[in-house]
Amino acid sequence: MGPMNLPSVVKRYLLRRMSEQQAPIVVEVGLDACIVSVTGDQGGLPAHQAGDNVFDVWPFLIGQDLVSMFALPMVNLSDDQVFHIHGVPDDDRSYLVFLPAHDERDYRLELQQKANEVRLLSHRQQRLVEQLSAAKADLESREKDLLRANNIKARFIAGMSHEFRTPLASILGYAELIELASESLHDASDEVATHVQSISRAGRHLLSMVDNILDQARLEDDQLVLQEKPVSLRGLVDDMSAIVAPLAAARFLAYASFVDPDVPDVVMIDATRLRQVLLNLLGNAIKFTEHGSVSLEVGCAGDELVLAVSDTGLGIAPSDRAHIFDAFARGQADEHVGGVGLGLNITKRLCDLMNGRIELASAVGEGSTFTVSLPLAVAAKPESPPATPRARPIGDADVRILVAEDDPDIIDLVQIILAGAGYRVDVAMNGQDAVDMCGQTKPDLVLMDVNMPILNGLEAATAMRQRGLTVPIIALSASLGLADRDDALRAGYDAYLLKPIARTDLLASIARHLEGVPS
Amino acid sequence: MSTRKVCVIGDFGVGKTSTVARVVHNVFSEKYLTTVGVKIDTYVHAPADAPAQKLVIWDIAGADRFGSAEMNYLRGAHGYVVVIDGTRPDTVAAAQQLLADAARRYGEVPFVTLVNKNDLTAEWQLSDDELDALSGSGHAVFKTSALSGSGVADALAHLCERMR
Repeated sequence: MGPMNLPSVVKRYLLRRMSEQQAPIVVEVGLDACIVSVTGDQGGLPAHQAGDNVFDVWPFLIGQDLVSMFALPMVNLSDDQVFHIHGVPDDDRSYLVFLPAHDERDYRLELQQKANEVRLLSHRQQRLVEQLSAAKADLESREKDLLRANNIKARFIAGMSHEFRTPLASILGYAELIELASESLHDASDEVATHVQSISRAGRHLLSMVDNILDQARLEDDQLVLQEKPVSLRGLVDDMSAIVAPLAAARFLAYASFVDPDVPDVVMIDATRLRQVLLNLLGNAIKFTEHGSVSLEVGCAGDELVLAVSDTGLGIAPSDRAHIFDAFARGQADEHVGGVGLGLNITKRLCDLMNGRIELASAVGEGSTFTVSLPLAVAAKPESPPATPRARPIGDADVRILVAEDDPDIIDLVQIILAGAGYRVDVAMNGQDAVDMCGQTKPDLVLMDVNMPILNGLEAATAMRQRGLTVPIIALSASLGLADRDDALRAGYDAYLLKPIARTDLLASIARHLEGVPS
Repeated sequence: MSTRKVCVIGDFGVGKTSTVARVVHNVFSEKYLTTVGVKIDTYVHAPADAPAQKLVIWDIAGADRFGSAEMNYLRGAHGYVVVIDGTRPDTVAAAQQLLADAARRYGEVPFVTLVNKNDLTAEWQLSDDELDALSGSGHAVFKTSALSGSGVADALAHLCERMR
């Protein structure tokens, strides 16, 4: 049933109900736009009276065509005066109908407020997500840049370390030769001997710093790989003591080492890295102790190997302890001693790498104890290599050694050392010459650098082996990466010695290879 | 004194009511309060060098499109104040849509464009290039802040001048 078909009684009922509920105000307006009459409760309207111009009383009507029908819903004249306003034209007049809408406005306001706030929040959330995404992309990009920069830094440090090693090999090697000459000829003054010792000491210190910087770079770059082998701990502690005891004695400190009887004879461990950890800790202990003693104690605790380095030194201030394992950290006590602040950082990283930990107990004025705990893995005693008959006599003038090296200072140094030991030395200054000379001089051993012009050492070693050379080829290189060593061994080298090397170590290695007992 | 009907239009939450409150009552509230329907206010613009104008300001509920009721509100307007939120680039498109809808129904009417919330520099999203493009498409653009009032009086003075 459509509204037009409503029974008249119903229409009248609805009209009455609507009029009661809506409480309309009806303003009769003449064609001159003046108010003729007003019916309804006018309390909600601005003051007005018959004869007033509606555009003066209600300026918001400006622009409205009063002779046309119009509807303006929800007009807020003030907070309290809210109306639906309708224009209803008749033949010679118009009616303005004001329907109060305050309650409806409040109801809609609440709904609309919530809806709009949700939309605004959603917009802000979207913005935040966009900003987070942008920040994430920016961070990822920065991370890539940092990784790239870090790689460049690592390569730079590795290259720098390599470049340092060659001149250091000369400095330390010649210093050693001068020391040796002074001792044998007894013709050098004490002053000269002291100066040479200073050169050696400074050279070794510089070398240890170069090694530390390179190790730190490799640890940061996860390039350092452990080489675990069965190791005699007691032998390792004895080695340490042999190195450390003279250093302690030079500073008038007592030194003692103790290995608990419960400690297994042989354990699986990277001896080089453990030695590095202990040397760092013992070296620091000696450096920072003025009076008293330094000690190394090795024991077991459950399934852990525990190594404690103690001293009666200055102790470490509480403010320095939090950062003592940070790279380049320098404490108050470091002001008067040398170093770049990498030793303890490397030590901690090496302990981490070995799945262990390092702890510090210290009291200012009483001393410090660094305790390293490592997983204990007992190993069987390694079998001794079978002794092979001596191939050629050591230092025999009939023994020819071909030295291939492009640095003139190193050539002279090695020549002096080898000739001094009685060997006959031939020299090639690049890989190609070395290959050619092998055919002519028939050397008993080749001592060859890796980085050389024309043919590098790897290419030269390969060529020599291809031409049937069977004698030992020993690398003497300044590159200390594991990959460098592996590459050399694959190319045909038998051993890989790192510059700088002590004269005695070089001669011992050569002798072992000549005897057919590789290291 | 001549009386002019001015409709304030734009998307929701861009600061239309805050701008009117700044002009008429010189107040600002941080709290967002939505407008239902239309709010009527009056303001006398009395420059020193021109006759005063009485503005009947229709602050119309925000939307990105006009419904029939909102279209009725615009009838007979002498000018529009179009408000954009400088921290919400989508409100530019909404403003342009509303202007186009109004022009189709009522023809060209003078207007000024307020790019509001100029005080929220950290959240500002509209570049000078985008604002220049808006100016190039016929908008008299004013960067405004209902919070501080900056730019609002200049924008209104410009509209009044255009409505004379």
